[in-house]
Amino acid sequence: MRRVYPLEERCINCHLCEVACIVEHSATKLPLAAYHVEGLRFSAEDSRHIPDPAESSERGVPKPLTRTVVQTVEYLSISTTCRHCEEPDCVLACKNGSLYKADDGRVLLHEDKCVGCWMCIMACRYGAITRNPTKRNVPAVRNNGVNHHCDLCPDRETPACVWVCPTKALVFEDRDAP
Amino acid sequence: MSTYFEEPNGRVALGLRRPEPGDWHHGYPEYRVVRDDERCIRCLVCVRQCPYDCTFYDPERHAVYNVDSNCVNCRRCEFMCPTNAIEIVPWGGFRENDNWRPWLIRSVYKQADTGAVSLTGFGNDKEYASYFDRMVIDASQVTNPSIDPLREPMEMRTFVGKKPDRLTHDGERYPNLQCETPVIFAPMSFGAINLNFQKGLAMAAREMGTYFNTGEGGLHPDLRQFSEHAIVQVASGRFGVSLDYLSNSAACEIKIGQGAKPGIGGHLPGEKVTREVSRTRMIPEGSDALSPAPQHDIYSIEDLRLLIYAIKEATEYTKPVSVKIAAVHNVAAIASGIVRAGADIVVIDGFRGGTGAAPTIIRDHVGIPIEVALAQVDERLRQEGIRHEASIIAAGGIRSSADIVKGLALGADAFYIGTAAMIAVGCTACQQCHRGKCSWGITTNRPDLARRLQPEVAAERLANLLRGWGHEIKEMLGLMGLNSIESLRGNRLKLRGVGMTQVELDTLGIQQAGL
Amino acid sequence: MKHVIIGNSFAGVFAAEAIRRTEPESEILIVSRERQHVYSRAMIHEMLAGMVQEPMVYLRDWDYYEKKRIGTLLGRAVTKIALDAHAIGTDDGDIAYDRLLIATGGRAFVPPIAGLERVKYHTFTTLEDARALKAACGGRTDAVVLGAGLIGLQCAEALRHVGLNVRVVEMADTVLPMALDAPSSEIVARELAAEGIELHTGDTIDLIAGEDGHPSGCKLRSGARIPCDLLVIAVGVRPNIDLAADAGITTDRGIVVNERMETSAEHVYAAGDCAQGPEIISGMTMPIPVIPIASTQGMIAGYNMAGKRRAYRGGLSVNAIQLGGVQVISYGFVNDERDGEVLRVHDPATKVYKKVIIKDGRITGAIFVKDIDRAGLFRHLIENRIDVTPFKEHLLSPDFGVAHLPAEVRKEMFTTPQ
Repeated sequence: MRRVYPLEERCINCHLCEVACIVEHSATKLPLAAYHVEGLRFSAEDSRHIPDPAESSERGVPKPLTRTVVQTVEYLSISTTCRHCEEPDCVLACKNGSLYKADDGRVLLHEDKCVGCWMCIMACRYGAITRNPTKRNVPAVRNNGVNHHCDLCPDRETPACVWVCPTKALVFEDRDAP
Repeated sequence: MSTYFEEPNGRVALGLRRPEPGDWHHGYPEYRVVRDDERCIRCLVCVRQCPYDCTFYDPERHAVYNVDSNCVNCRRCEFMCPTNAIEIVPWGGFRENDNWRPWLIRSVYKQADTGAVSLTGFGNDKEYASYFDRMVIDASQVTNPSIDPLREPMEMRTFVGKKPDRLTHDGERYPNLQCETPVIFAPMSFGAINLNFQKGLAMAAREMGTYFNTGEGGLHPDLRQFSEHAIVQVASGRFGVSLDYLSNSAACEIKIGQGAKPGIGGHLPGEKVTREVSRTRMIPEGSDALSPAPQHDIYSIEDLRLLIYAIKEATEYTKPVSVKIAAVHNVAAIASGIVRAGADIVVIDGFRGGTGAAPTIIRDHVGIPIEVALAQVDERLRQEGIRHEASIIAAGGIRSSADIVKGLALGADAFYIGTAAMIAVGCTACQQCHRGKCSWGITTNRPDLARRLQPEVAAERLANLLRGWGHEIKEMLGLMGLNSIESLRGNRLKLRGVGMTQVELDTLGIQQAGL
Repeated sequence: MKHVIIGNSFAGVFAAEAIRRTEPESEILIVSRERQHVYSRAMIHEMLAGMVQEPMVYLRDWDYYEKKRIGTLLGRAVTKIALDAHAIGTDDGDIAYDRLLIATGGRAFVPPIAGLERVKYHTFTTLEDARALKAACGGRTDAVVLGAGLIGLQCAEALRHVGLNVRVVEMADTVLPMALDAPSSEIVARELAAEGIELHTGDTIDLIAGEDGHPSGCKLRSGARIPCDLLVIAVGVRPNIDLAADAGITTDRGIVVNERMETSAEHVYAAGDCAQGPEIISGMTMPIPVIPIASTQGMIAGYNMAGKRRAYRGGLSVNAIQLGGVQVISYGFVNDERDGEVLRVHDPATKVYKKVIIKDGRITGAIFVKDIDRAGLFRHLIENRIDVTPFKEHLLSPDFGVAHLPAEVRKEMFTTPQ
């Protein structure tokens, strides 16, 4: 199964993968509409010091809704995404079966079922899941949201992050044993 | 704690600007970063990519802003912006004055501010008439049919080195460099550029059957695998020179001078001496690496002969020895002396040649154009009957396949390209090479920036450049009715001059167009 | 091969899936006392509060078992396991098996309390419990929940959401004493208090006053008297080991299993809240009644039942809790700080609290309050016993991530298929 693998020696910490991810998952898939009309944020700077994305949204500085996270230390950067594991930790932890492994191997979410309990965040060894506060299936719970992770861009041949990377630091290939 | 990713001090940059009479050369920005605010999506890619402290993010206004006086027009932000929101434009300007041009005014400001020598990178950018651009190439018509390169083989291969006096079946042969294309990658040292680019050059050289040159920075261990394609340089600083270094090469080159800064030695500013560079050059980290002007054991032509033969002895006469000089007055006489001293290759570097760092005033005013130097050296060596004893490599601002064809006709055996190689991998000619912050990852050893240029990508682009030029050279050879580089070499009749004086035509040894 | 699974919750369904993936043709039968379609016990409090619609409570789609060709016998109580006969006895006949999985989960423990036997009280572990409690809320005003563990507090919060006054009584000095340490527990307690839930910690109910078979008030050990017209007992869940114990299978607190989920009886497996399997930090066996462990144990058991040998390296006690709008994630032994180095970050203003306990370079316990992004990395660090000494000063920084890990660890995680 083809997955996105990062090549950390090539990453230049530009974060274009995050931008491409946000645009691809926006309603129009157009960057200007995504920013001006949908109000999607691209900059993580303002919300950096607010750990909870729901609070961040409330305070008018929504965190970027990116499904890949570029993590950096000094000059080492790496764009991390869901590994679509064979035996996904998140699926085993999900408290109401919202997360599932599809027939094509991708780990996906029933968006309308997720209650935002964050058991998946607790379980995912790769830190690949973030909280999406823009969808709330349990509005009575303060700071509710849903699971947010890479879905391998179902509408594209090649995932957006792989396509945009200027140094080809992300590759989309099958590394499974034959 | 490393300084690579400290958040740039935006608050300082955002602060009120005070007129600084002590900092006049930053007083009038040269460039202005124009950002279309409608298109800017605040992705901050430009903020992260700018190494020159020019681009910042203001969280209060949720907007990106620039400190224009720091902009060097490297255009990295334009290139990376996902919505094409950025345009770098020239800022205002001084009142038109053909005598006191803007750079001259700024140069006086800078000197008055600092009292120091202004350094720069890249090649001479001043207005001097180009000879290449005033020569045109002959084409076959009617009386001498052209050859179609798509149907007939074109011999692009050339041999660089000493040729025997006469050709016999079992006679003396001298070591030569076999080049599948007459283009070789110019000396660019590890320190001036980084290992990624050097690897790219080495890989492309191997793929295309040509060579790269280590420059005076030594041969990095990771490049040992390419030693068959490496020309190793022995420069005045003797950085990294050892028997091992000389033996693991295709040829050894003694660097006497460089077109960008004739008469002075190499210069690697301390900012560019990182740990890796310090290890390869065997000098302390962070210290300026200033090579002495003369090689201190070469004070006469006889001394040069001693060094040439010392190297030949050490390498058991298996490799050609090259001597590189800058193109200066009397270059023909100097070249003649070098050939008689035993050099197999003479490299002549014209005044448009690039550099990692040199005093601006020297880069722009010292040295002569490669075209005339080449023509004179070729002519003199022929007259003295020693033209076969060494090959001539011409360097210094070779920009296109046309320059190569013209240069071959003027007498060159092969060419070094440095600047063109950098541009092939992304250089935008911003002339900041000496600062070690190259946005394109070419002339910097900072790990966070060097990774912007990947060796495989560089190698592919360089190989493409040589391939493209190769096709064009074949086309031009064919249209001249020639089918090999050898037939073009020194063939001045294939060139004509346009808009030159008679003296210029005579110096180049070519005729006026129309005749 | 006929596989029989007793119990229709996480362990059972993941076991059935694992078997079906390995053996497309074998027969799988799930037998359960509960009539409901497979549901999540962790969702019943949200259902009670009316925060979610019922469909969100179920673990799989309605036609799931049909599609996977998994047979079910729901509303059928299993009465005994006849090991020699390789069969289970139910309230309506015997069922033979080739492989048996006991995934009976746990049941609420009800302690003896004076007056309890004369009044109606509720426990809160099953969907039926939740429905009953919901029905009982009508006309009531003062709920008392005995026990401030996860179940007790979730129930309390739900009842508060329904509109009742809620008082919680807990023996320990802090709420969630098993999952949290004192400072994090304090943060949660404050949020619950802000929601209007009255907490009585370090206390217990000595006497329950009743009227017409319903509670009318409680007298606490401290002497306080609190009103009560609805009583929920949530002091703990005991593994359902009776079937196994009666059959002579080795049990301790739970049904003892090895790393392949095998019990002491041949061809009999156990998984989930009823099982006592290996724990990864201590190496000992202990019941770990949390969903991820139940699911994983079920899956491992299923593979082994289907002949695919898989070993389980051990469970880790994990929690993801949301109470009072505050998210908390914890791993391992969060209160065992002796001989360990404790790193802590606490910002009362933003309610961020993070703590890590390191022993011999390895993390043995961790808590994250509010700042939970990428917390799962700590699970990786703990389960793989990674020596965190080289980067320990970064562990609690807000942007701690994979870039801080040693290169080999990162390579293994991100350059090979997982």
